[in-house]
Amino acid sequence: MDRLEFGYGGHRVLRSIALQISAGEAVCILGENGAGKSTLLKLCAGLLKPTGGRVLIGAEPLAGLPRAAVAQKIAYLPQECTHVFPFSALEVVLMGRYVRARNQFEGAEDLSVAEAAMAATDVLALRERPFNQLSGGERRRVLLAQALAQDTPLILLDEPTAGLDPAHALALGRALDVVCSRGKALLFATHDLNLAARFAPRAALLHQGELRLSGPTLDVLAEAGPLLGIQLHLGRLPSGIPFAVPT
Amino acid sequence: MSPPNPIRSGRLRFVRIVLSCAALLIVVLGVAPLFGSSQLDVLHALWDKAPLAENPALRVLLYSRIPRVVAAALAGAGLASAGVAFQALLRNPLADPFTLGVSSGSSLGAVLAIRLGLETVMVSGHPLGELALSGCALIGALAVVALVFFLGEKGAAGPTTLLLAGVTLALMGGALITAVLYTADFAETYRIVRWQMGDLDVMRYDLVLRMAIPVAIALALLWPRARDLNALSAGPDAAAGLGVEVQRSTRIVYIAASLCVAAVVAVAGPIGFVGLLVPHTLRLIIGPDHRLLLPTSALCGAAFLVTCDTLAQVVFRPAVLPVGVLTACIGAPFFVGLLLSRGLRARLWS
Repeated sequence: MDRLEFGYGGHRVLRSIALQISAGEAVCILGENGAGKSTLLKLCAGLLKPTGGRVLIGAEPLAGLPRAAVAQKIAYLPQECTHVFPFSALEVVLMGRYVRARNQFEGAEDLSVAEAAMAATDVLALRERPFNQLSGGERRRVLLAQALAQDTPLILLDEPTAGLDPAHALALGRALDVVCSRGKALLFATHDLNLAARFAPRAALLHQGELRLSGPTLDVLAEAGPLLGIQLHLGRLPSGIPFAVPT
Repeated sequence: MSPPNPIRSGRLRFVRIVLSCAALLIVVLGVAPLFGSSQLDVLHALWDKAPLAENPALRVLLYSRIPRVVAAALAGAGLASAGVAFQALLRNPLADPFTLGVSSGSSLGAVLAIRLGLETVMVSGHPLGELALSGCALIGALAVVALVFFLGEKGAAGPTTLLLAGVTLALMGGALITAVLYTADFAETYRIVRWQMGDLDVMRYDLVLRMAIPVAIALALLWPRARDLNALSAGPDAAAGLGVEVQRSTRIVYIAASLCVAAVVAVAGPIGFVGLLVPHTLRLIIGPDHRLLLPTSALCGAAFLVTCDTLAQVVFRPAVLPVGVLTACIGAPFFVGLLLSRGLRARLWS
């Protein structure tokens, strides 16, 4: 249902990128630092204007849509997200209802949506805690709940597991899985190859602003080594969980 | 027993808190005119059936105390609201009309108007009068805001850079004011120095009105943007992702906040610390939600400045202290305390 196409000339940060994501699908973007992953996500979110090509949601081009209309279709979680003021976790999730709430104040429906979203990403117990005092992993899951509460068909995440310890990274991966199982399309940029292998069935690899590989994640990873400047050893645990180890 | 409402920003809580603040303001507004630099039996004057011309106490009440109280309320509401707006926009809890240099830009405009004698300039047969002062103050404020805004739009400047730019502009404004003072004659110097003290003395209804209209317009522009300001607390990209028209919203808020400051400074001179003291105190009590913070800051800012101004008239009676002196004396220690207390700071910002 989501057809995305990108072009971004001039700067030559990204060149003629074509990518398509369907509902309920998780796609990860791989690539070295500076390969253009964040730029690609910002283009998809409509935060940057492409110098060429376009982004389509369904059959509708993103360009020219007002922000509120975009935010009803796409949720975007930037890499860094801290609040200056001490909002509680629940208040942060409720901000996801910005384009959904009918009044200045969120109603009972918004509250139940927000709480369900927090339950899905396993942060309901944190709802009264100040967002800024949560750990990095908890914050990311609260933000994922915010994106869920925004109730968009597509969620974009920029390096959702950057800086997280293994336990929190795994918890986030599981939360991504839950989100996907609800029919949301996910597009996330990551350096975490194991997260990609385990939680994203499909991957796209950017190299120097070009889309070099695209397809099932394990196939992409099998050829990704040289493009990431490493050798990759791929395998599966006895339980069937795939892994990727640089060697 | 029903569980407590988990949303700090629930509608019911909003109504309750805003009504409490409004009640506080009404009490303050009712009590303040009873006190002033002279001792008057105001209650007796009110019940006196004598005509206005023969009732000096009533005349003082009507033509001196009430306009002064209303002016203080408007100035307090405007400055506190502008403080909230600037703090949210720049994602900086230390931002306020003064730290951003808006007040000093405004002051420079007004001081220049006094020095150049613009008040006596005749336009179609009438002298410009205080309108010249207000106009120049507004131009000064908008010029500084335009500069700060330009730096912000250029993107090179983070919140800290903007604040530093504001402080630099404030210092430069101060230096230019000193330069103007150096060239001024005795009478002008006296007026400029008095004006800079931040004073609500000699308030007339036309001056009150000149402050009321812009402040009312500014508040009407600010309040509907409260949710945008909440979202902007996480930065422009995150806010845009939530559906906020970031550029439009920030522009409106910038202009509204500067309008507030310019209107207040033009009439009352620079009165410091209201924009820091009131919002931070309220954040400690009711939390950071701007939907609550904006209206309560306006109401409590008004109550605060009216109280300060009344104290300023009473403490050294019959001498009247400029209210700016008093707000600085209360505000500065409060703020230092805030900066030193890690516990308080954690509850206000990160």
